[in-house]
Amino acid sequence: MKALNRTALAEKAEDGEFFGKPAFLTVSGQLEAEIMAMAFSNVYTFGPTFRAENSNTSRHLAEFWMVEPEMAFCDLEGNMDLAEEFLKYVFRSVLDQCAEDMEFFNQRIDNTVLATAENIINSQFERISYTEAISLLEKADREFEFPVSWGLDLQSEHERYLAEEKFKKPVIVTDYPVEIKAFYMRLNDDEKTVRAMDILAPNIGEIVGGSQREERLDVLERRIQAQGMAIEDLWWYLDLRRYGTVPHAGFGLGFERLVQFMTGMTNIRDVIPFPRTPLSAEF
Amino acid sequence: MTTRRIAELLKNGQPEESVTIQGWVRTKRDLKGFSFVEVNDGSSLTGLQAVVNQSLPDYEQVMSRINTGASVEMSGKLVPSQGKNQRIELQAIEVKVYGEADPETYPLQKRHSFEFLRTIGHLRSRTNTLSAVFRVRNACANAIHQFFKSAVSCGFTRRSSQRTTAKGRANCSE
Repeated sequence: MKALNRTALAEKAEDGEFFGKPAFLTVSGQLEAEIMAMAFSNVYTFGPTFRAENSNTSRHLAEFWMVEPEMAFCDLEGNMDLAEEFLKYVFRSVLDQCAEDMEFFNQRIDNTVLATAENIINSQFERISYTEAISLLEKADREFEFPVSWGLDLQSEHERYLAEEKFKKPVIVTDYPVEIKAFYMRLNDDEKTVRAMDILAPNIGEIVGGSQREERLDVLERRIQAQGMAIEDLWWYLDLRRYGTVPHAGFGLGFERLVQFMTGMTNIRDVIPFPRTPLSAEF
Repeated sequence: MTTRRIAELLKNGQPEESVTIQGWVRTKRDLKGFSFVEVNDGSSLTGLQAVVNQSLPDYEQVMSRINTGASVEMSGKLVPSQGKNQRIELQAIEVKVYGEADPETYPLQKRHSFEFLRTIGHLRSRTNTLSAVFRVRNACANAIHQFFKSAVSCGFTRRSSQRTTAKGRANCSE
């Protein structure tokens, strides 16, 4: 991205002079949110994050906003409760405050948006483990394009089957295989799965992803090494486990995806005022 | 006189002796002896219909400057509307044009594809769909802050996310 006014600061930052080391744009506020949660108990961050993948799709932006709450003294159950309450609250308040706009989207853009919102507001979310999800998919009376097998990630067709056909309401899938999830997610006693959760909603697919974080120093060090990452680079993250560690959990939600789901807009570039995508930064 | 937001006037739906609104002209229809001008100020999908009568001083000259996209201020009386599409309308007594929009070049005269609208990112927020999207986006952002403010189980402390991060993070994008 080239700013119109290239300041001396920007140039120095690029050379790695300004911060004294190479600096990057963040892809998530989570690890820093964990720092703050270890002092304030419950925090959230809501701001821009960046991905420089060259994906030119209707669901990707190079700059998008994320909401990431992080709670100390909280396990995966508490995390799921908060996420469910959160989604219901946000959908309810938008329906209340933007009734005319929502009616417009339902009539002109996508005639399922109101039903989808009502479904989120009024259903008690189903909670199943990844292992249960795989077994339901294996028993499903239909063909899938992508293979279903324990250890493979769920594809969007699988997620949609669970939310739209099987349960007909939002589903929270928990305890995914360790191999397909991030290093910071808490390892279960079976050592095969981690305390991750994804919320899948009808007509939407995955809307929230979160986990209980690994709070045990030795386990976390092992996980970092297993991923081929350097322990030294994450010294401060490990310090959080060295000094006053507590069980903690949080989740992330892509703000533009949320607005996209609410309004039924097909292209994510139309739900952010000035979309940043590959080869586009005019405004 | 304080300027009123159109959303509020439409929501009340009540006649009023004297109001002032400011906004951008969405449509204009010239009829015999008067014109209908729909003004939108971004506060709601629906704009306010104003009736500008030819008895207005400089009627011809003012109306020639009012076209789709022009910015205006109108003061007058809010009265029950004869039309089916709205409960109230503004009988304009004073009309001020802030800035004209040349009908020959102003792009938002007809329906456009979303693809085209992306090429005029500086104007697309004046369309029905995009303005509705950004009102929902705003309501959504407010609801998020409100939720964490009021979350029962825990007192949430907001922290603004940092844009830059030093190397050594799990995921970085350069």
